[in-house]
Amino acid sequence: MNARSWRNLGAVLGVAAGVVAIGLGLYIHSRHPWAAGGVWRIAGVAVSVQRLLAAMGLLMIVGGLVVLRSRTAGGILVAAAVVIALCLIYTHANVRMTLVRVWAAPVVLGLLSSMCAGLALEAEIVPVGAEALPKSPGSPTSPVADEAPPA
Amino acid sequence: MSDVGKLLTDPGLRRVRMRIFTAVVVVFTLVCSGSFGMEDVVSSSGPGFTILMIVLLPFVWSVPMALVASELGSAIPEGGGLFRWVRRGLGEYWSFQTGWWWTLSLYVDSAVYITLALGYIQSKWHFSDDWRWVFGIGLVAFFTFINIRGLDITGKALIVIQAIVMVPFVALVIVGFAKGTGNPISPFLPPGTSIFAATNLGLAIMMWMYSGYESMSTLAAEVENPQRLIPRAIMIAVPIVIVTYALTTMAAIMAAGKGNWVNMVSDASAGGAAVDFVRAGQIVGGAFLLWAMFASAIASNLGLYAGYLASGSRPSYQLSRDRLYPRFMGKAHKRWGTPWVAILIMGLVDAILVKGSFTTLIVIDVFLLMFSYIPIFIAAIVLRVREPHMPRPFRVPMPTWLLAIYVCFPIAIAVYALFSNGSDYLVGGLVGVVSGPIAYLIFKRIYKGTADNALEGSIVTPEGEPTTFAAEVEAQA
Repeated sequence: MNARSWRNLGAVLGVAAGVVAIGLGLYIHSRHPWAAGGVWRIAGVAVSVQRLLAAMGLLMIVGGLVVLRSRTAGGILVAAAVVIALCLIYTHANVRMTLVRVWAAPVVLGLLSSMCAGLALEAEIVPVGAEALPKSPGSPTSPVADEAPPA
Repeated sequence: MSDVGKLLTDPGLRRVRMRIFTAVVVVFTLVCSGSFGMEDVVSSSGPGFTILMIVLLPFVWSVPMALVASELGSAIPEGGGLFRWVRRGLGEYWSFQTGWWWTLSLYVDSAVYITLALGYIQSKWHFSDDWRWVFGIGLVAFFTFINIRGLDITGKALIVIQAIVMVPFVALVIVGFAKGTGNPISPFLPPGTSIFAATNLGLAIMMWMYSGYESMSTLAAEVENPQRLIPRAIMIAVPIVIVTYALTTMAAIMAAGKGNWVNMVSDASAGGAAVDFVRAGQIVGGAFLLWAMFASAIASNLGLYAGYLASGSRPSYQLSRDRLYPRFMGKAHKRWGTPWVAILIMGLVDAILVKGSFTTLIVIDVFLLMFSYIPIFIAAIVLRVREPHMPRPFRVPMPTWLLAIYVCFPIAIAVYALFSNGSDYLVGGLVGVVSGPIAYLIFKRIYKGTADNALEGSIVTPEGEPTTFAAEVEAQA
C-alpha cells in the first residue's frame, strides 16, 4: 500500500472510531441515563461515561479528518482520545470489564487509525540517505535529505 | 576479525572479544539468573503441574524465540538486534514499534529488579525508606558506571554475580534432594483446581521466567563475531535454563517438607509457614544456606538489573543512530566505546522509579514485551519467504512452512496471556502500546529516519545492494 492508501484508511478508521463511540454513548444514555461506571473526575469536573464517549468520539472524528491534512497531528489526536478512554477504564476497577466491552470497538479502531497514520508517514517522508537509492518507478523523483549522516 | 565483522563495525562503538562462556552467562542472566519467583507457581499450580510446565513450556514458548533469535542474530548481526531484524522483515514502522515497546518494557523491568533487591536487604536490616532510596541510587550508579565502562567489564561482573547466585542453588539441590521430605511431583494439581485454572495462574509467571533469549542480540554491535557467538550462546543456555529451573524447584519443594508446597511464596520475609527459596535453604541447610540463599536472591536481582541495563539501553542508541530518536541518545563514549548517554538515561529513570511504588507501571510491562515478540516472529517468517538466500550461519532446521506453524505456538500463548492476565494488565498495557504509534508520529516527523542503504552497521540492503555504510567502511579500511 502506498502513502495515500494508508492515509485514507487512517482517516476512515478514525472517523469510524468516532462514530462508533458517539453511537455507543447515545445508546448507553438511552438505556442507563445515570451512567455506567459512575463519574470520572478530572480537575474537579465530573464526566459521565456517555459524555466521555461522545467527546472522545468527536475528537476521533476530528482526528480522522485531520489525518487527511497532517498525518502527525491527526494520528496523535485519535491516539490521544484512545489514551484518555483507556485511562478512564483503568481508573474504574470495579466496572473495568464492562467499560472494556463498551470501549473495545472505538479503542481498536482508533489504535488502527493512528497506526495507519504512522505507516502513511513512513511512506511519505523521504528518509536521510535515500538520495543514494536507485530510483524505481513510482518512487519520489528528487528526494532531499535535510542533514548529513552522523559522523 | 572476519571481513564481514570489520564491515559491521559501528563507528564509535568498541567491539570486545567475548568468550563463549561469558556470552552464555550473559544469556543465562537475561533469561534465568536463579529460580526466584518460581515459588508462586508451585503454590498456585501444584508441584507436579509446575514441573511439567517447566519442562514442556519452553518447547512452545522460549525455544521458538531462542531459535528465531539465533537465526536472525546470525543473519543480521547488527546493533539494536531485534529492532533491526524487524526492520529488515517488516519495515521501519514496525521495527520502531518493536524497539519502543521492548525498550519501554525493559525500563520498567530493570527498575523492578533493583526494587526487589532492596526489598530483600530491607527485610533483614530494617532501614528507613529514605535510606532505601539512597542505597537504590548507589546500586543504580554502580551498575550504570560498570555498563558505561565497557561490555567486557559488565560480562566479568555478571560472571561473579552468577557465581554468587548459582553456588547456593547447587548446594540447595544437593541438600534438598538428600534431606528434603516433600514430594516434588505430588500432588499434580492443587486440590479442587482444574488444569485450566492452574495454567492461568502459573502461565504468566512461567512465560516471564522463560523470556529474554532475544535480549543479547541488542549487543551485537559490541562483540566480535556476533553472528557466531550469540546464536551458540543461546543454544547452550536453553537446556541449562530448563535444568536449572527443574532441579532447583524440585529441591525447594522437597526442602519445604511434606505438604508444605501450599505455603510457597516468592517473598516469605513475613515469616510464619511461608516458604521461599531462602527459607527452603534454611530448612535443609541451616543458617549457612539461609545466608547463602539470601545473598543469591540479592545477587540474582542485581545481575538481572546489570544485564538488562546493558541490553535495554542499546535499542535507544540504535534508534537514535537511525534517526528515529533524539540525537543525543546516539552518542558513544570516546574512550570506552559504549553508548553512554543511552545507558545513563536508563540509569536515571531507574533511580527515579526506585523511589516510589510503581505498581501501575509494572502492569504495562508484560503486555509490552508480548507485543514486541509478535513482530519478531512474523519478521522471521517474512524474511524466510522474501530473502530465502540470505546467508544464515545458523538456520533453524525446519522448512519455512513448519517454522511458520511452530512460531504460531508462542504467538498464540502471547495473545492468550494478553487477555488472561486480568483487565488491569490489558488496559494498562494498551496505554503503553498506544504510546508507540504516538512516539513514531512525533520522532519520524522530527528526525526523518534513515534509508535502508545508509543504516550504520548494515552492509546489504534488502534488495541485496551494498549500503552506503558498507562503502564508507570499506573506503576507510
